[in-house]
This record gives sequence, structure tokens and C-alpha cells, in this order.
Amino acid sequence: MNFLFTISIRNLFRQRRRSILLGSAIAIGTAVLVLANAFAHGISEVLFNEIVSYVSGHVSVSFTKGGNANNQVFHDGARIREIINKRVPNVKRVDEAIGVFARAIGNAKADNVILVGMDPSGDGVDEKEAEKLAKNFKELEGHFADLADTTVENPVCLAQEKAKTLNVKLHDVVRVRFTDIRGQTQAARLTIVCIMKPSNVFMAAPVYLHIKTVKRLLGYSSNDVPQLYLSIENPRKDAKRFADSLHAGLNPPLAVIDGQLSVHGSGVEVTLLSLRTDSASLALVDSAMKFSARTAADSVNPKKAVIISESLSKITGLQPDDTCTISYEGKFGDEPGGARLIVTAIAAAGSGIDGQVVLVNERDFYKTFYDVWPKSTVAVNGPFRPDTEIGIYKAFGGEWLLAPRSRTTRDVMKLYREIAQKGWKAIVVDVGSMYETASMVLNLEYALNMITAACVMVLFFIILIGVVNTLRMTIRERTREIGTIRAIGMQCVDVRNSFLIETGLLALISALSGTALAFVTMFGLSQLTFKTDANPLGMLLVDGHIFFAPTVLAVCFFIMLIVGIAVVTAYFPARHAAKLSAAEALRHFE
Amino acid sequence: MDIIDIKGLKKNYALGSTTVHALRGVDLTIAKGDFMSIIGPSGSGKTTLLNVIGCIDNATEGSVKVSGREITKLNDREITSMRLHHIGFIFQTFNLIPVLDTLENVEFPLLLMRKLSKQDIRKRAEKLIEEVGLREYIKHRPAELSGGQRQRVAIARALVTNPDIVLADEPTANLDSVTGEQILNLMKEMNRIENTTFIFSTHDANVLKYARSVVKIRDGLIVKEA
Amino acid sequence: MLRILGCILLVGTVAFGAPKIDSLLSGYDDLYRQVSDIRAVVHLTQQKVNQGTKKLEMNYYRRDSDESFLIIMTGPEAEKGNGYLRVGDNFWMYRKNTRTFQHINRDESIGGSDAQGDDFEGRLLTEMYAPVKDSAGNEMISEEMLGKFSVWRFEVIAKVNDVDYPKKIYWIRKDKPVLLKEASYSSSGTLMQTLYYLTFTEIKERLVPVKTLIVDEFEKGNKTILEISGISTDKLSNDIFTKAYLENLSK
Ligand SMILES: Nc1ncnc2c1ncn2[C@@H]1O[C@H](COP(=O)(O)OP(=O)(O)O)[C@@H](O)[C@H]1O
Ligand SMILES: [Mg+2]
Repeated sequence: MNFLFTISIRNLFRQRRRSILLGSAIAIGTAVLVLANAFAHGISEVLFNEIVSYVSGHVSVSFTKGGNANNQVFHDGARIREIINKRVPNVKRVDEAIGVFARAIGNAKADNVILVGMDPSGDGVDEKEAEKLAKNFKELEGHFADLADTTVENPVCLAQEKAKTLNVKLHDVVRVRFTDIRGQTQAARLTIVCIMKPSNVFMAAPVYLHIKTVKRLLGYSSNDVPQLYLSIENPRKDAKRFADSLHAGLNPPLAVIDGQLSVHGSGVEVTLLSLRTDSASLALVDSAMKFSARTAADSVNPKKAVIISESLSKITGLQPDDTCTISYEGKFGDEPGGARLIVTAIAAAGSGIDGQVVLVNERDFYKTFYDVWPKSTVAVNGPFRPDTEIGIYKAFGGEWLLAPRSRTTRDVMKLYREIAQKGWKAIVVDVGSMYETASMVLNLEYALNMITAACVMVLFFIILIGVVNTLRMTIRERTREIGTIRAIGMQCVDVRNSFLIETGLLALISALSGTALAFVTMFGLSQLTFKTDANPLGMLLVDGHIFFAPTVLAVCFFIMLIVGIAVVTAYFPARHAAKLSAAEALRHFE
Repeated sequence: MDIIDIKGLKKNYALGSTTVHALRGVDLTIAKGDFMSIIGPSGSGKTTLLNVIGCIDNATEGSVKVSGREITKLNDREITSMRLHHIGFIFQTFNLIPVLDTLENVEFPLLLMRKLSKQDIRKRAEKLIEEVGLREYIKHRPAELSGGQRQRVAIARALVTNPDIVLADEPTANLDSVTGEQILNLMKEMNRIENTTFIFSTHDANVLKYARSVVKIRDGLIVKEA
Repeated sequence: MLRILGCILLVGTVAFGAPKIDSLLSGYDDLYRQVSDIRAVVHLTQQKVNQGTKKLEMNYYRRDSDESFLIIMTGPEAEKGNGYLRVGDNFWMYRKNTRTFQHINRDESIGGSDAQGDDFEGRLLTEMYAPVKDSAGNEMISEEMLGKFSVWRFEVIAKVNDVDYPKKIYWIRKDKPVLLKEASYSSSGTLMQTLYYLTFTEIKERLVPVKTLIVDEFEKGNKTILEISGISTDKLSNDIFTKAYLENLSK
């Protein structure tokens, strides 16, 4: 076998011109392929590790309160974080994500801006991350770290360009008007502590505040969390899986408020349950419940329903249209929670809610529940806990509403339209992976991969045409030689193999030189510095340089692919040559 | 003992719509150790006969036994192996492998056999090169050798496997008469040393003096055996 | 910004002397409750710094019994035929070009103006605001002169979270309960916007503001003039608050 290689290599050198011609074509093709792939992969890396993790997180958890897209809050943040830690192992970072549109006024100049919260010194910001930050936000004046300075009124960092449009300098004040999470119009004075040059245009638009500052300005309390972005180690492999697992962990428990109901000074322990008022739940109320008394308004508009059990009515003497008050202990802080309720109906005994229970329409229930998060949960004993088997059970609301996992970006958009339309009163919790939330980014990656695929196709044809033609010439030229070695006693398959080896070797050498060429080119191209501010594609550059990320695996794969294509292409002409009759071949004169 | 036994051998070639009868019924036996010449004018069927004996062309009709084996019934793999192990070829146009030097060309059939060790192959090849008198040219490629030297390499290559028969199709036709004589002398010498059966074809009556036996062929038929 | 539409038809029942702020507010609300259906033509003139003037013209229909309203843009040309329809909890935007209805968030702006869907909701002032009291527990109410009128000036703060401004100051004429000026503040106490009710017309024996100047106090130089004409309080046909009505208009 060894001598087949020797002969093959020597034959390649014998037809030097032809080998160089075909070899260069393959080499250039390979170089383009490796280059395109490294470029695409480099962009993907930037997209996945930088942009996606900032823009949507690899996995994200969003909260929508009251059907209002601007009201992104969950009041028991610690609980969510706990679930994340349990469900998403090795989560790299959990970022609180807030971006809110604002009107900003500088020195006699106004502009629209986005207030973005960040925490340059938060947990999970390791050295590498800090380095990345320093690279992405090049400080020109002041210090980025001063965002945490509490002696300054609302410290803010903005891009040079933004400072120019607002006509402001370091230490100047920018006034902003924005809508807080309650929907109130608010104003604030932001003090510029840092002017920076962002690494891409993408980061030049927002003005950056410490996440704590933004949360305070927007009216988040200390227990509240905004949208959470999770960065994970291996997003492409794990994002979807982790999102699914997190979703499973976020199934809401039944919402209960255990408190003191008082009527005319006397009190009784009761449990408040949320009665969902979507049409399906209301139908369930009608079919599964009987009422011993009901106000006319309740039958007409059950969206304001407050239903008490017959036994509770007996104990308290409450009748429809009577008013009672509820007070209960909160989970956070000393403020007790409370509500004023007007009874609209009394459920007949046997409806499954016999006991000290009040069903409160979801609007009033969640207003109370989220205003002061109750200390009690369904997991501990209380005045009343419903049997999960009762017909009405499905109409009871949870502590929040978990949106089904969206599979596509279309689904996500549909979900948010639905949230806005239905005006669900419970906070809607949605778990997304970058595959749904950042599909535009992923589409870009897909497009880049298509370019690579196109390169492969072009290369395939170069090889196909090149190899077939070259081999045909070679075989014609060497017909007598083939006859000779067949006459001497070389087996047919060995003759075929010698041609395959020859082609394979040429392809291998060419692919290797092509790879070398690609690396040299990459090195050269990555030395170039592009002006990022003017170019919208600047966001795909790293520090103004094209970022190539060749992988050993991909390069090996391409080399193997090319050799493979070459060998497969050579197979039929080679076999044809090997099958020549020795006598015929020997008689061949050119 | 006859190393070759041919009975009623016919060979036809299709040439367009007509059929060329290259051999029209040849009966021939050749004894082991013979140094035989097949003589006949151009187109008489010498090459065809040698090709059939050498297992590189198949018979249309008749039986051909080489070293006691009926070769007309063998498949490609067997017949290739037959050529490798039992037959050596010397061609009119030398047919050396241009990318291999003298030594490698001679080693080539042994490497195909995969029987001997590398050292033994080397030894055997060197011995034969020595015998054909090309010691100094062991590292030369065919292009660097003269016609006579090339044919010597071809002889060494044909003999290196210790074949039963060496077939030489007009071995001297491309050489000047002096060199041709040297080659025939060498072949005769080898025939003597190795006791290998040699069959060579020629259209040149001058070389007949080297042959131990002579077969005359004309129009695909043996006209005289001597 | 168009909330003031909810406050048109403000007259009368407030007692003289130093009134309680709540009674002033509920005076508004009582009047407000008496009105169910309204139809009017609204002109908005928006003036923005460096952007010149933009004029919007629309027909406005409202029915409070089921919290419905309909706005049909009649100018400028680019907006003509577009509309906004709210019935109960549903809020749609209609585009004439595409003849499509789009379900929208309540915070979407109308006709690209600063008027938001929320502004069109009729909510009772007493549900939203409570009087501000000083350290002694007295309501912050004082007498002032506003132009040639002597007025009550009083402060209120939001009782609930979902209001546009957490704090407001009202100026109401002493002789008649007519709102002349309204200032809105953010939580941090920044004056965000001031409304001046400039001219009034009498409808059903009540004074209704028909020209209002809205001054953006945050971005100085931005102002809007709101003019209302053709007010009618006749009962509106049920057909008006339907998608079909909007579609038929653009046929
Ligand atoms: N492949 C072939 N196709 C057709 N005719 C052939 C072929 N090979 C040989 N012949 C014919 O067979 C006859 C014998 O040829 P050959 O054996 O080469 O003669 P020689 O070697 O004696 O010159 C000739 O007439 C030749 O033309
Ligand atoms: Mg011949």
C-alpha cells in the first residue's frame, strides 16, 4: 500500500502544472469556505455571547402586570431567583433588564432616549465580563463605576454622540420624562458621570444608569424584579432545554389571602380566593355553582363578583350588597394588606366552597394581592383550602399566570397581543429562550450558514469539474502505463485506488494550503480597523475589528468534506480506468 | 514437461461491423526452460498469441494451459494473480514506470506480491539489477537511461518474481542491432541462470540464431515449428 | 390630554364659602355622571419645538354607560378616515388604507399625538384623587386671583397608582364651579404640564370649556390647543360604537 502513495505523490509532481491548477482552485475554494465559516461563526459568537445575552438573554423570564407591556414587574423577586437557581444549573449571570423610553432634555436640546439599567459590579460579572464591559464602553470622561455613586443625583453614563445631541458635558444634568411601571408620568434629573465611546452603534442609543437607580425611578420596590435575562454557558445547546425546565418550575401555586374579615366590628378568619373572569371561568361558575342569593348586577356583570359561602353568610350575617373589610399580614414589610369588598352573591351549600371563604373577582383580588403580597400561601394551613376535585377549581387563579412556552417568535407576539387584549389581572410570567425571543439574530446566523453552504456548493462544482477533467486527461495520457501495471499483475482495485489516492492527496494538500491561506487572510483582515460609529453593521465587529472564530472541528470537517468530495468524484473515472483491458491499454498509442 | 499447452486457439476481434480473425486455430506446446522465438510478419498475430499466453487477453475459442492451469476459465482477479506470479513481460517499448527509478521499477512486482520482506525484496531486486549489469544506474529514472538500459531494467523486472515464463514481444524492435544483440544475449544468459522459459516474438530473421526453437506464424496460423 | 373632555359640562352644585376639596371633586363627578352620551368635533393644534405645528381634527363620540368611545379622524389628509374604537375592555385602531382593525394597548398614542388611549377613559376624580393636607391636617386650599376671576386653588394627590400624574393642583372659580386651570406634577414634584381652560360655552345651562391650552412644562415650548365644537348630548345610536360603522365611513 505504501508504494501506491509513493507513486501517487510522484505522479502528482510529474503533472505539476495540472496539479497546481486544480490544487489552487481547491485551495482557494477551501480558503473561502474556511474564511466564510470562521466569519459566520465569529458573528454568531458575537451575536450569542454579546448581543443576545444583552438584548434578550439566552433564557429570559418576563412579567407583564395588568396586561400592560410597560408594567414589567414581579413582586416576589427572591422566589423567582430561587427557582432559577434550582432549575438552571450553572447559570452564568442573571441580569435584571429594564429599558424604558424617555424624553430627555439637555442644554436646550431634546432627544428621545432609552433608559437602560445595568450593574457593572453585580454578581456574575467576573473578570472576563468586566473586561468585556471595559472594552464595550470605552470611558472618555468620568468613570463608569460612578454609576453606583450615591452622592450624585441619578448618575448616568451616555455615549459621546448622545452627549452631543443633547448638548451636554460631564457633570451636566439631563432631565428626563418617562412613564413609570404604574403608568404615571414622572420626571427625573440625571447627572452625567461618564461619557463613553461604545464599541458598536447598538450600544450608543441608550443612556445607562445603575439598575438600582432605574428601578427606583420606575417605582420598583425592593422585592420587585423586572424582566430577567439569564446568560448560560452553552446557549446553543442548552437555551431551549433550560427554558423548558425553568418553565416547568414556574407553575404557579393557587393564590390565597388568609386574613381577618370584619363586619360591624366583629371579625372572622377567612380565605380569599381569586375568581378568574375570563369567559371560560365564568361559564364554569354558572355551571358548577348554585347561588342562594345574588344581586342583579352580579348576574349581569360577574366581573365584579364577590361570592361568599352560605356558612360564612350565616356566621357574619353578610348579605348581597353588604360591605366588609379584609385585612391580612404581608410577606414583606410591616404594612398589613387590606381590601373593601361588596358582597354580590352567596353560594349555596354544596358548591364545594362550604367554609370560611370569599371568592373575589380577579381584578379586585390581584389589586389587593399584588399591593401587599400576603404572607400566607396555599402550602400552609389556613381558614379554607379548596378541594382540587371540585368543579369550580379551575376558575381559581394562581399567584401568577404562567404563559405556555412559545415555540416561535410568532407565538411570542401572539401571546403578548393576547396579554394586552385579555387584560389578565394576574401577572403573566413568560419564559423564553433566545430561539423565540432573538429569532432575528438567529435568522442572521442562519443566513450566514447559508453563505457557507453556498461556498460548499461552489467548491463542490469546482472539485467535480476540476477532478473529472483532470482525471480524464491523466488516464488518457497514462493508458499504456495502466496496461503495463495491469500486465505486471496489479489488481483492478489497486489501480483504481491509486487514482483515488492521487486525487485524495491532491485535495488534502490543497485543502491544507487553503486553510493556511484562510488563516493568513483572517490574520490580515482582523488587523484592519473599521470605523464603527458610521456603520450599522458595526455591532458585528469587536472593537472595530472583524472577529473570526474558526473552530478546529469545522476546519477538520471541511478538509474531510473536500477530500471526500474529491475522492467520490474521482471514483467513477478511476474505476473506468482500472477496468480497461490490459491488452487494449497496452496497444494504446497517442 | 510442457509449460504451455495450446489447443485450437482462436482469437477474433470485432472491428466495426467486421470480424478480424487474429488467431485461427493455433495448436502449440512449449517445454519448460525453452528459449523460443515466434517469428512472423507484422500483423500475423504474434502479439495476440503472446497476450493470450500471458493472460492479458482472453481466447475466443480453444484451450490454453499455462503451468498446467486452464487460463481461459479464470476470472479477472485470478488471471491478474496468474500474471503476477507466473509470467514476466518484456515489451517492445520497454514500458517502465516513469516515476520510479531502476530499483523501484524492479521491486515493483515483488511489492505487488506482498510475500517477501522489504529487505528480501531489496536484495532480490539488487541481485537482478546486478545481473543485467545496471549496478551504477540503480537510482536512475527511465528517462535518464538509454533504450538498451531500459530494456535491461525491463528484463530484471520480468525476472524478479521468478516467473515460469517470460514473454517478450519484439524486445529488440526499438533498439539498434548491436544493442538488440546484447539484449538477446542477456535474455539467453538469464534463461540459462534462472532456467526460465523465454518466449520472444520477432519479425527479424536475423535474431533467430539465438532461439532454441522457432515457431513461424502467418495470418493467425502456425505454419512451421522447428 | 383629552381627559378634560370627561370634565366638560361642569356647572353648579358646589356650595359657596370655603368648600371641602372632596366636595369640589365630587361636584365634578356628579356632573360627569349625569352626562352619558356626547358627540363633538375636536381640533388639536400641536406646537412642538423645532417641529412646527401639526393640526388634527376628529369627530368624537362617547357613551359612558358601557365605557365606549369612537374617534374618527377627519384631518389632516393623511389621517383622514382612521379611527379608534373602544367598547368595554377592547380597544382597536382602524387604518383606512389597509381597512384593518388592530387591537392596541391602551398606551398607544392617538394619531401620533400625545393623547393616549387612557385619556379617553372616564373615571371619577374622587376615585383617583384625595386632598393634600398640611401638617396640621388641614386641606391645602386657598383663595387666589386668576386673571380677573377669584378662584379656589387646591392640591390633590393620587389615591391609586394607575393615574397619569400623582399630584395635581386645580384652580376653580369661586362664583361658579368652573375649572380654569390645572397643573400636573410628577412624584418628584416636577411640574409636568399645565392646562388652561380658556373659553366656555353654555350647554344645558352648564359652562363647558371649548378651548383649552395645554402647556408642556417639561419640554418648554411644546403646547397644544384643544378646541371643541358642535357639542351634542343627544342619545347616540348604538350603531356608532361598532367596527362596521368605522368601515362604512371609509367606503
Ligand atoms: N484490438 C484489435 N482490434 C482489431 N483488430 C486487432 C486488434 N488487435 C490486433 N488486431 C488485428 O489482429 C491481427 C494480428 O495482430 P497482432 O497480433 O498485433 O500482429 P503482430 O503482433 O504479428 O503484428 C492484425 O490483423 C491486427 O490488425
Ligand atoms: Mg505485434
